[in-house]
Amino acid sequence: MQKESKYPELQSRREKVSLGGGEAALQKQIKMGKMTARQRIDAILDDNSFFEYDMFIQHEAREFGMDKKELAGDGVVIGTGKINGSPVAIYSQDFTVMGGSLGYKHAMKITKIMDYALSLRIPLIGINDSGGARIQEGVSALAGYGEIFYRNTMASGVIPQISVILGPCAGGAVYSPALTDFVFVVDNVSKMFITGPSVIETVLGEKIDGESLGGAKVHSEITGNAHFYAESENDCFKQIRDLIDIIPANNKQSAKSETPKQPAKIDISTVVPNDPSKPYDVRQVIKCLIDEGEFVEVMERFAGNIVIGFGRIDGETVGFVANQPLVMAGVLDCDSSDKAARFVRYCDAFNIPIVTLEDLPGYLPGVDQEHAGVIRHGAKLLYAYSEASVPKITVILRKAYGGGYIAMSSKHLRADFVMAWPNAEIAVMGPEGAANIIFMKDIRAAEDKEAMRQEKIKEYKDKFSNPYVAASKGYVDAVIKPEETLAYVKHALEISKNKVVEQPTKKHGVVPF
Amino acid sequence: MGNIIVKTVHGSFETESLAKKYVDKKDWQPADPKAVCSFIPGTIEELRVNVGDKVEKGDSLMLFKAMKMDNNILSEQSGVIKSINVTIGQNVSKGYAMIIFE
Repeated sequence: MQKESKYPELQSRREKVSLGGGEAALQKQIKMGKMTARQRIDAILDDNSFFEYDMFIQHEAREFGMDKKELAGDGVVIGTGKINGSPVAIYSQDFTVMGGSLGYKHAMKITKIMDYALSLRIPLIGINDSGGARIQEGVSALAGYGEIFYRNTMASGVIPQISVILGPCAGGAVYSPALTDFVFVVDNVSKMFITGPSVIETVLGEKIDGESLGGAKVHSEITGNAHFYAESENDCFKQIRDLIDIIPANNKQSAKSETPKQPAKIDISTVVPNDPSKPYDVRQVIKCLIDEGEFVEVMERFAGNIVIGFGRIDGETVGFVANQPLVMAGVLDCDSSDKAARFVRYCDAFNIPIVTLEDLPGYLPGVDQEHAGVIRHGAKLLYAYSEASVPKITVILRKAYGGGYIAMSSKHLRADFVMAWPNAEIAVMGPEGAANIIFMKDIRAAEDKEAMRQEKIKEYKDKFSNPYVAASKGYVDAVIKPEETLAYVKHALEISKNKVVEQPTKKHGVVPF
Repeated sequence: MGNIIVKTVHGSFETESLAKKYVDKKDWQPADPKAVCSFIPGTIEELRVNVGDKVEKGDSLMLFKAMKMDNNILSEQSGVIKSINVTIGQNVSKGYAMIIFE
């Protein structure tokens, strides 16, 4: 039997709001395989750490019969809580209350918690599950979105902003997640698009279902709008907790240190094959450098030719950018440049040192790449690395050709330390292509053209396909054995803690978008 | 470049020109799950299956040289090879359906 409350009105009001859109609506949400707004908050945060605000907010819309409607909390739950002991601000849209639609007061609740997060310098987590703008409220709903977008932009680079898409997120609503740092999606639950399938069919005659248009797989594999993909909501919440744990709470603090651990027991000297045409998984090299088990990969399913993520070295957070020879030979293209450039800027904004592992044949040739704008997309990476003032450490594992060599945090873009392994090939292009161009006349004139070609390839290889030419010019600071890498990287991180960079005073640069 | 006649909300008609990207656009097609397509332009170095072979998920289908790298193409599905549309040494563009499953 329940004890009678001393404050019966508060008790009944709380109970009513906690039911959201009512028992039936909650059951419907659960039947759809989704958790409710409050369950989600409880699952993300530490047990009993959530404190809710603005529970009794009511909308002020009067048109279209809205004056008779009472909406629990106006369709969104806001509050603060903790993740592994660290404070976070959180909001969670409640689909059971009028489809989670965003009215003005609903938006004001969200902006209130955003303002808290920004002034308290704590991470913001937003759970999106909404049918879109509350049409009955007209332009007031749009004003609400605008207020959210403005705050997203102002908070960018100050506090980490995380968007979790756990339901529909359509129309203007998608721009808030797009302005935040990390977007989480769940298979069969998340749906994001500017215009939905029905509009597309009416206007363009193209038939497509919601999942193929803007489902979790689409956004984590094709569009690059999402950074983390999970099979279930609970997996997603674990990813969020892991991420919050490894990144700083704001741009003035460093991430929590953990007790240093030894890296996984992998022999680093055997990971990279000597033959430059043999692929391997660069994650194995990362594993050799980080404290065992401490790696949070970002955008794992998008542009797999580059691997980005946060790891810990000696218990401290480090950002990794690594070419992935296993996928498309590790080339830089539009998508991988975008992916890496944004990550580099994130690390720079939050003072996370960057370790770059380089093994790439250059930028990807092709009509589709050129027409897709690989020039401006590729330029983002050059910009991001040049601009970044955090410690930048580069290890050239094997190939470093052409524009790719410059882009991947070279000395010329002000990397602090550039190390190369003994088998590194630093050159304008691969030996085959280079020999064909430089020795075209000799090859044509030769009796045995193929023998001459091979001879010239070897000649070029001997002259340029090694790290010593670059080392002789000081572009490579040290040629090191693979097994010396961790010691060098640790030392470089340790001595660059107080790095100072003088840059010209400006309002802000103009990033090539 | 094409033009279209549009009826405005006021009932009058206006001619609008279409952007090149709109005219050139292809309708969206779902990817064929039975086709193994090239993900990058490259050359077929080695074919490791024949028509009619039964293949398990994870088996090697071919060695595909692209961007100076020998990519070992593994099957993403189990099934029987219906047709092979490439020969050794052939250059293929991106998105070319190299092998079709039954």
